[in-house]
Order: sequence, then C-alpha cells, then structure tokens
Amino acid sequence: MKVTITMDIESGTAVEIHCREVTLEIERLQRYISRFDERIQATSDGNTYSVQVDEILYIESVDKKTFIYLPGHVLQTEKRLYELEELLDEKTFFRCSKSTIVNLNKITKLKPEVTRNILATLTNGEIIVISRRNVRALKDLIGLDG
Amino acid sequence: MEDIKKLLIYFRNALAFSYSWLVLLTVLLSLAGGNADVSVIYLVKLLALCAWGSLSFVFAFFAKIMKKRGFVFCLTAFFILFVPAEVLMFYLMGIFEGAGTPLLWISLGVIVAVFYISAILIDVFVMRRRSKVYTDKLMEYRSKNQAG
Repeated sequence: MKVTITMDIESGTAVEIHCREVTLEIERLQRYISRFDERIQATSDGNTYSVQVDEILYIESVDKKTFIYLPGHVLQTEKRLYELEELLDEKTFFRCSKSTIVNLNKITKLKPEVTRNILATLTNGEIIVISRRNVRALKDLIGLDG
Repeated sequence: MEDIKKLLIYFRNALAFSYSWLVLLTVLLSLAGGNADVSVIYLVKLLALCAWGSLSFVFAFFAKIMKKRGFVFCLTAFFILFVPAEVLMFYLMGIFEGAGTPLLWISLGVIVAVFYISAILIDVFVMRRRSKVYTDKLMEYRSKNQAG
C-alpha cells in the first residue's frame, strides 16, 4: 500500500483512499482512519472536555447516567450506553455487562471465576466484572474455544 | 436503588429455596425417625437460620462491593458470616440432640473445611491456569487487532 502526504489544503486534515475496488480490507482501513483521533464530548464540574476514545478505561451507566472512566478521573456524558456502543469500535470496546463497556486495550489480566464471571484487571488496577452472559461473546471475539 | 431491589429479590429467592427444602427435609427426617411432630418454635428457629444464611449469601456473592473481589474472597466472607450463626443455631435447635457429641461437631467442621479447601484448590489450580490462557489470548487478539 502506497502512502503519500500532500500539503494542499488550508486547514484540517483530509484522507482519501484510492483503490481498484472496495474490499473488506479497504472498508476496515476506512473505519480505522475515521476512528483515528475519535473524541467524545463529556463533562465534569460544569466543564466540557473532548475525550480521546483511546484513553477511556471503561464506560458505565449508573441510574440512567453515563460515566466515562479515565485514568485518574471520571466524566459524565449525555450519550446513552447503547449510543456509545454503536459509536465505538466493536473490536476494541466490549459490552461486558448490562451497564458497562470496557476498552479491551486497557485490560492487563483476565481471571475466570467459579461463578462463570470473568474479572478483568485494568491498567489502573481497577477490576471490572465481565458477566457470565457476555463471556461467550468475549471468547468468540478473542478467539478462545470452549 | 435498582441494586437494592435486585438484592432483595435474590434474598427472597434464597430464603424461599432454602427454607422450603429444609422444612421438607425436617418433615422427612421426623417421619423417618418415627416422630411426626415438628414444633412451631423449631420452624421459627429454622426460618431465622435460613434468613441469616440467605442474607449472608446475598451479601457475600451479589453485593456490588463484593462482586469484584473474586470467588474465594466472597466464599470466605460467607463462611465468616454464616458458620458461627450456623453453629449457634444448630446448638439452640438441638440438631445434634442437645449439646451433641464432639464427633458430630467435628463432622460438621470437616464438611465445611472440605468444601472451603476444595474451592481454594479449584481457584489455585484450575482458575489461575485458565486466567493465563485467557490473558494470553487477549494479548494475542490485541496485537493482531492493532497490527491489522
């Protein structure tokens, strides 16, 4: 794949893909580029922040409010959990329970339990529960048999 | 609020399940022993034991603060909460015919210990090995995903 950079616009950045036909690979590349530097608007103490999705540890819905957990702080967003689920990359963000979406890139350890839940330890040491209802989906996603 | 509602539902289910089975068992044992009488005070004590057991179980395994602690921690908490009450109620209910014999109490202790040790062994030898497999697979998936 040939990559060229052309400086010919006044502001912003535009990416154009040239190809013979639109294959699955091309669609994946398009998705990847459009999600690059993707941000979500969120608030904390009345201030609005633009959160880069790569930084998110997990997103949780509590009492119909949605919270975004970052290393060191928590922000609230207007978006509902299902809206964020649709917005985020399904290969990176996994719905691990009815009320939580986790960033798979922030998990350092998975520990299956006798109760059939899985405990996921995140990079900040926090532990979140992958409920047994969602364990099958996780296994399918990461390619674990059995 | 939703969590409390859920915990109350679990408590109700655990209490209904344990109490109905234990009442049934009590009646069967009474009949088998040739004594068809079950006193109301005995049933009330049994209800108290089941209620405490259900409460301990729901707290140890379903409360939000406990969920993230792992199975062995939850089981330990359950045993700490329930076993002393169980011993006391067994004594008050005269399950072992009054104070019972050391052999009966030791048998109870052995049953509890075997169950607890088995859970720990499963956690150490099975779950920790699986944990490594799961974590390795996730890392492999991540590196593939990032490379792709």
